This record gives sequence, structure tokens and C-alpha cells, in this order.
Amino acid sequence: MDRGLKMDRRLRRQGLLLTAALLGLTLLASCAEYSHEQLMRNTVVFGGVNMDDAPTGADAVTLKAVTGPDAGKYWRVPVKDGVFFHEGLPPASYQLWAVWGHSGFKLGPWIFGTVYEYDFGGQADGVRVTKGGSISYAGAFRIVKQGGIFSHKFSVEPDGKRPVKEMVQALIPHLRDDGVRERVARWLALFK
Amino acid sequence: MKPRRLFGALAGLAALVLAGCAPSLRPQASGLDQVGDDEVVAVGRVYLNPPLAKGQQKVQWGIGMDYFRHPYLALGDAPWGDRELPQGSDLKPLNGSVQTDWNTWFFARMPRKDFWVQMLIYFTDVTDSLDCASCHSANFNWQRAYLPVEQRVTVQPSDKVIFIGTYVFYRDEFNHARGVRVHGDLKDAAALIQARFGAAPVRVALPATP
Repeated sequence: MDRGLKMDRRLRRQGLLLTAALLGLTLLASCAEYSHEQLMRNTVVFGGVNMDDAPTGADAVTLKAVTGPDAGKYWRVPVKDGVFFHEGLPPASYQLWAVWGHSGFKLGPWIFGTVYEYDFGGQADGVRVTKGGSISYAGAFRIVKQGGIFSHKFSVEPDGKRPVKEMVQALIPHLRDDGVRERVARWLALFK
Repeated sequence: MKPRRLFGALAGLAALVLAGCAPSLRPQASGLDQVGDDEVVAVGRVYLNPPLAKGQQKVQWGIGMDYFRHPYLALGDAPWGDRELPQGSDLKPLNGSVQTDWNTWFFARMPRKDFWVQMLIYFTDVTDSLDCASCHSANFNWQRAYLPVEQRVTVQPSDKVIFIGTYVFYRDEFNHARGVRVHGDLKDAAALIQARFGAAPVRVALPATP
């Protein structure tokens, strides 16, 4: 495992308004930036995140563009059924940055609890999108509990348990039905 | 120093002190009068290939200041080995390291005995995160990269100034280590060494394990 994946849990307590704003950003992250035409020119990026050992579920994953014209920009992408995804990122390299989850309960866009951030670390792996109009797999990860009761440490580690095909199947219903979903479905058909 | 930068520096220092983890950095010498009888001056520099591009190092104003923009070359009595490399607010590997700038000569005071060049450390993201405006306490996110090297530098009893060379660290865009080369380009540093240490003899002490 890459040493950079070691991290500790970061705990965030925040006000309701801010939480709502973040969730709104998360929900919009995959579609707010690009028009349909741009999305079709770009590449679907997805990966898996397993929260079985975490104290929370996963709401979003942050990717950081580290090359290209958007270098330094963070993308908060949603997590659905254990799969994080963006429906159309332009060619560049994107480093995995953090997984976000929350404890407590959620009422609509409001969280009554604590938001958690699980960092991948400064040397995390990432995904290289080398061409547009394609599909890129960013890998699968799991939150692993470490340390004692009071140390509150977690790490993000590679997770090979869930087949890629299964993740794609889980992803498809959440994709927009204007070409993106069809593209991923065609890709899925290539799996045996 | 401009007031804005001074405020940032103070805020960053306060963050380190509050975290209880301000590292003790390797002192540098600007002249022989600053070098103890049992010390040598190690002259070297670090270079990152490819250099950090736009956006690859993000230090948020107000907490990052210059402290987090510097690279650090960790020097120690022994190789770092398999010890865990801490994340979070733990800055342990910075203890005893040289705070420097990219491609800039440093003049580190070292005990007169063999030492190890352990790793290059630099920060990739230093933020309080976009959601930390309502944090109950300062909660900084210090993500960093460690590029290992682990090379031994031998020091002789008669040494006063030693030249350890230019360490070129290769990496990919995710800050994964891709190797290290050490260049013995003493002539590039000769003028600066002479300006600081006069006619003191300089011995080239490139690492024993290339």
C-alpha cells in the first residue's frame, strides 16, 4: 500500500447552513460544470468506496486535478451504492483526495450530526484520463479502522473485494439518461 | 515583511505551537564562526523533477505561510527504514531536517559524524478545508509527500565543510517517488561557499550508496 494513503480521521463539526451548502455542492458536482456536449466529449470517471468499517457512510469523494488547465481544482463527486463517479471529466490526472461522510441523521439536505473527512494523503493514487469520450476506473478503496478506542484513526486502503462489473452495474441507474448512461452500458456489455 | 504575510506567518506558527508539534529544524551556518568544534557544514540542494506545477502545492493563505511552501531534506543518524511515515498533524520526520528552497544551496550544521540523507518532504495541501469556517477549533489539513532516499554520507575527523551535492528527486504527478540522482556539481556552489567560509577546505562527500 502506498505510504501516502495513511491518514487520520478528520472530524468536522459544522453549522446547518454550511452543511446544506456542501451537500448541495456534492449533489451538483457531477453535472453543474459542463454542458451535455462537453460531458459527451469528456470521460466518465468512477471508483468504489467501501465504508463497512467506517463509522459513517460515504456522501462524496473529492478528486484533485493535478495536471491540465484545471490543476489545483477539487471535484466533489457523489457516492451512490458504494460507487463514486463523475459523468464527464476532461483529460487530465486526478488524485484521490478525501472521502466524506456523516454521522447522526439527515433530514432532506440537512445533517444533524458530524461530518467526517477521510483523507487519502498527499501521495494517494489517482486516475489518468488520457482521452475524452471514454470511461476511466479510479480504483476501489475501503476505510480501515486503526488505533485504539480513543485514537480515532482510520486509513484508506485499496479494496479488491468488489468486482468492477458489479460497481458499473450499481452505477448505471444513477447516470443521466442522455448518452452518458448508454456509453457506460455499452462498456458494461464488454465484461464477460 | 508585509503585514499580510506577517499575519500569515504568525497564524501558521501559532497553529504549529497549538498542535504541539513544532519540529526542531537543522540550523544553518552563514560563516565558520557559527560552526562548533564538533560540527561540519553540509552543503547541498534539492531539486524536484518535474517541479511542482500550478495547483500541485496548495497552501491556503493564513495558515500555510512560507513554512509549508518549503521543501525539507530529512537528515539523521540512521536510515528511516520501515518506520511509519505520519500524516495528520504529526511532523516527526521534520525533526533534524533542513528547511530549504528548491534548487537553492543550503549550509546545514551537522555533528561531525556520518549521517544519512533520509527523504525529501514537501507539503501538497495545507488547508483548513472549505467547511472549516465553523470548526470548533483550528483543524488543519496538512497533506505531504515523502520521497525516500536513504543514502549514507561519511564524515572525516578533519572535515569542516563537506559538499553532499544536488539531490534530484524524480516523481510522477501523484508524488510517487521515481528515483533519486545525486550530482556532484561543486563548481556551481563554489562561489557561495567561498563567500561564507573563505578558504576553508571543502571535501566532496557524495553518498556512499548511489
